[in-house]
Parts: sequence; C-alpha cells; structure tokens
Amino acid sequence: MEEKEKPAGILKRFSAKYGYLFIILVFAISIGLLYWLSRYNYLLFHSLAEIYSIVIAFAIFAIAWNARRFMDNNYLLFIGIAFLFIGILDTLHTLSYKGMGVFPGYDSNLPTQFWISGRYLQAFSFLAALLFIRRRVLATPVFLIFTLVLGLILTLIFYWKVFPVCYIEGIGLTPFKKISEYIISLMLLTSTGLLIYRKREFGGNVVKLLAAAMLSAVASEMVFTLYTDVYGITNVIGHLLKILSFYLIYKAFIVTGLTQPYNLLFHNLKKSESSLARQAEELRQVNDKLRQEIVERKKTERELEQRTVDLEAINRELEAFSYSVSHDLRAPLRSLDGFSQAILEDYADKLDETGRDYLKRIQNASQSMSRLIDELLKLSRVTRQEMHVEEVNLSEIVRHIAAELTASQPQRQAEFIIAQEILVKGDGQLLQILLRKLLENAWKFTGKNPSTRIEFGCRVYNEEKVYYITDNGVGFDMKYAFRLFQPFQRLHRESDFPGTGIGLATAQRIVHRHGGRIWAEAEVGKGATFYFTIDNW
Amino acid sequence: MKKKVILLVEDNPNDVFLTERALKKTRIESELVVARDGVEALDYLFCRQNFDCRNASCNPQLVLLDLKLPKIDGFEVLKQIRQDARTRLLPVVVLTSSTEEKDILNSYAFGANSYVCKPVDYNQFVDLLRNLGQFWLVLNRSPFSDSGD
Repeated sequence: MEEKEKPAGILKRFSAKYGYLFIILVFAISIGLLYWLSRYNYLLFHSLAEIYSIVIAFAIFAIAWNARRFMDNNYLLFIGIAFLFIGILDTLHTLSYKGMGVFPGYDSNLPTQFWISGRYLQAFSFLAALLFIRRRVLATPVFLIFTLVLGLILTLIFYWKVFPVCYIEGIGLTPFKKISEYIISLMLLTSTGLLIYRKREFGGNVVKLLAAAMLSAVASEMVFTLYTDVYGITNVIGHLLKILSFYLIYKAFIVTGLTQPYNLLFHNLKKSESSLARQAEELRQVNDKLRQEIVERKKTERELEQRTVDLEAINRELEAFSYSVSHDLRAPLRSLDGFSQAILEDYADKLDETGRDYLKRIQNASQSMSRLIDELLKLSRVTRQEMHVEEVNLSEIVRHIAAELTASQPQRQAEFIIAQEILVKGDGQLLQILLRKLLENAWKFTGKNPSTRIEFGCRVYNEEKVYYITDNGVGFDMKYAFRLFQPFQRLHRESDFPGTGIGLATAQRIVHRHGGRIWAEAEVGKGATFYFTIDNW
Repeated sequence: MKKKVILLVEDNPNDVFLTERALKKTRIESELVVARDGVEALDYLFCRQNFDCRNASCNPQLVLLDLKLPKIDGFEVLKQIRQDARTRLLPVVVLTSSTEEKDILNSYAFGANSYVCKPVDYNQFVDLLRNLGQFWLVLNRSPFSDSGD
C-alpha cells in the first residue's frame, strides 16, 4: 500500500517549485526593467549592471577571506581573493565608462581596456584556481601577487600607456580585443571542462553553478566581440549575460555558501561527518553483533550448565549402578557356585561323571561372570575416579610389575628391557593400572613363546613423546585393530588366552583421561606394540 | 567352656545357609546367631524387642556384618554399635560383596575392625571363614572374653 504523503512534504515541494518560478520571474522582470532602463538611460543601466556584479565580486571576496581558515577547498579561496581584484577592475571599468567623466582625457578605449583586463584576470583565476583544489593556498602571498598584477595592469594603462588598444571611436573593437575575448572564452571553457572533470571534489550544485556561470561569461564575451557602439544593443545583451554570469557565481558562492554551507565551506566536514556517521553505524552493527554474541554465549553457558547438571545426574546414576552391581550382582553367583559345591560334596554318591561335570561348568561360569563384574567395576572406577596429578616415574612402575610377573611364572624364560627414568605428570594410581594392563597383556600373549622379550620405552615423534610397550608374542591381525579398545571385544579365543575383553578398554580410558591417545601395531606371530601419549599438563 | 557366639548380620537366606554350612566345615566351635536386617541386629545386641530376655552381659565374640541390609544398613548398625558403651569395643568384621573403595574407607571410618570381601568361589569362601574364625575366635583376645588363660 502506498504511504499517504504528509502535508508538510507537499508544501515543501510546492515551495520549491514556487521558489524556482519566483526566481525566474524576478530575473525576467529585472531583465525587462534593465532593458527598459538601457533604452531610457544607458549610462545608468550600465552603472547598475556593473555595480551589481561589483557588489557580488566584493561579497565573494569578503566571504572567502573571512572563512579562509575554515575553507578546506582552496579552489574557492583562490577565486574569492581573485574576485576582489576583478571587482576593482570592474569598478574602474564602470568609472571610466563613456559619459562618467571620472577620467578626463580618456575615451572608450580605457573602460574596454579595464574590461578586458578584468576578464583576463577572471579567466586566469578560474584556471589557476584548479591547481589549488588539493593544495593549500597561502592567502596573504596570493593577495600580494594579485595586488602586483593589478598594479602592473594599471601601470601598463596609465603610466607606460602600452596596453594594447581595444576600442577605437567610430571604428569599434580592435582585433586585439576580439581575439582576447576568444582567448578568454577558450580559457573559461577549458576551466569549465576541468572543473566538471574534478566535480567529486565539490559539493552537489557548486560545480553546476560555476560551470553555468563560466558558460554565460563565455556567451557574454562572444556578444562583446560584436559591438561597435558602446551604447549599442549587443552591449546591453553582453551586460545582461554578465549579470547572469555573476548571478550564478553569486548563487554558487553566497546563496550556496549561506543556505547550504555544508556543500561549500564545510563540504569536507560533511564528508567526515557522514564517514563518522558511517563509522557510528558500523560501530552500532559491531555492537549489535557483540550483543548477539553475548546472548548466544549466555545461551551456550546455560546449555553447558544444563549439560553439567545432566552429566552429574548420569554420573550419580552410574555410581548407584556400579554400587548395586558391586553389592547385588555377586550374591546370586555365590549361590550358584556355593550350592553347586554343596551338591558336589553332599550328594557325591548320587552323581555320575556327567552330573559332576555339569556342576563344574556352573561353577566355572559363575566364576568367570564374577571376574567380568570385577573388571567392569574397575573400568567404571577408572572413569569416575578423581584425578590426582603428580610426577610419576613410569620406569619404576614397569620394573615393579615386571618383577611381579616374573615371580608369578618363574619357570618362564623372560627378559624385560626397561628405559630408565621415564617421568610424566599424571595420576599415579591410574597410570599404574594402565601399565599393568599393557604389561599383563604382553605377558599373557607371550606365554606360549619359548622366550619372552618385553620392552618399555619412549620415542619422540613430531615433538611428541610416545611411550610404548613391545612384546614378541602372538600379535594379532591389524584388520581387527579397531576393535581392540572396545569393551568386551576379544581378538583371541577364551580357550587360547583367557580374558574378559575389558582390560584394553580400561587402558584406553586411562589414556584419554590423561588427554592422550593409545594405539597398537602388530603382526600375527611377530608380536605387538602398544603406543600411548600423555598430555603433560 | 561356653560356645563362642558369632552374630551374622545377613539378609540373603542363601548366603546365610552357605555361611552356616561353611562354618560347619571349618569345625570351629561356635554358635551362629543370624540377624536378617540391621534393626534385628541392633535389637539383639541391645537386648530389645524379641531379645529382651537375652543375657545382656554376654556379647557375641564377633559380628560379621553385611553392608547392604534392609531397614538399617550396615554403616548405621556399625555407627550405633560404636556409640553404645555396651558394644563400643565389640569386634566387627564387615563381610560384603562390595569391593568399592568408598565402602572400605567408610567401614573403617565408622570403626570396623576388619573388612573382608566375599568371594564367589565357595571353596575360597570356606577358607576365608576358617581364617576368620581361627583369628577372631581363637587367636584374637576379645575385650569381653571371660575364658582367657
């Protein structure tokens, strides 16, 4: 749905339209009046027209001079200073005009000379000012140079009297005057082109107004090449065009300068203001993003808290579960084993060999179930147990366990190679369980070898310490290595090598709790190597 | 000589039966009194309820205490035994399935004299009871023993 236009908006638009029409109307009436005036009293017309432009020229200078400290567009400052001298030349032109009688003994050549020097100065200023768009104008030296130029012109005309003749009574304009008007027009056109080329340096309307002013000045010059009578109609049109030109400069400098100061004097200020606004906007966006992030982080924190609460609940449940396992699951096994034993003893005479075998099997099953429970409880304990980090001498622990293993089967031919003084930071109890699991494993799987060789050591791979236990036992097929550390997974038959399948799962939990990794390499019949790392914190 | 009394605090009838049987096999002279829960154990020790006619001066030689019991658990029983002047010095052996470290530490904290895990293997259990009887009824001097040398 289209939004209803606000009354204020309509008014504004009307006033803008009206204002534009008003200006055209006023201008048309002024031109009409001036034309009528020129027919009635040409000298009065000329004086008014010139005074009009002179006032503007001085006003331009006044505004530029006073604002010179704040103007960062030096183009305008330069032109502003120039317009004082243009105004002076135009004043002289007006005063020396035919019929004024201020300079006795001079004819219409003098005002034309002032005129052409004023136009030269104007065209030159518009060109030279282009050099100062990005350069600093030192107001005082520029002022002095213009004073010298003015002095030179006056000297050329009055003292040396060598300024080229511009007008000859009865004949009209000299070629010098005409060619000069063309040169001036060319300079103004060039200046207009360059100004448009660099329009980015100025605010909105300024370039348009200045360009229009220069083009009307060009038109005015063209007309002034044509007149023969200084009171003639072409002269009137020329002056009207000059008024238009000055009006446009007035518009550019004063009206634009006063009503849209941002565009003129504080264009760059506005630029930096808008960049500031942009930065503020960016800052606001960053702020919003930050706020969003904080909200999200808080949400994550809450989720984390919830997760912690959940985990604690799970942990408590696990603890209750293992407590229950610890207390209740073994009781029926004791009954199975105990009553089987009772039958074997008390009813021995009523049982045959098969009956006794069956009872034995019940006992074996309940005992292996009991071992399974023990291992499961150990696994869960390894997971739950609080860590007490200290410096642990792994070599010492390995030596200890090796001695125990050797003593458990003294008939076996066994050799332990233990690297000296391997120290890590970790939980001593857990690391002992870890090493025990790995060494018992190595011991078990070398049990059928004529001689056993088990090595414990440490190597550095990629700046990381890797500990290893190598045996020369039966090894295993690497195809099944991925199942090695899963609970209840076994790679060998129970009848070949007894076990619960929980030992390596326990070892892995311990390594993980130390922030490390564990893996194995093996070959069937050639032994196995278990590697692990411990994150030293 | 008066028969030495062992108070077995145990709720599982199978365990009770197997313990009685194992104790018989050890041939250690003793009388086994069974309490089926914590309350009954305390009633017996403090001569309350069904045991109010018991000779209060005659404490058992040894208490075999399970931890997981109906009504009042083993720890509570142990606490109350240690709080009462009559039973403060009574030898109490915790006999349980649990291998939890927490249970072991708590038992000693509440004043148990010993902590023993019941093995599943019945033969081992018989050996265990024989050792316990040998130690607590024969070798060990009870604070209540009136049959000292």
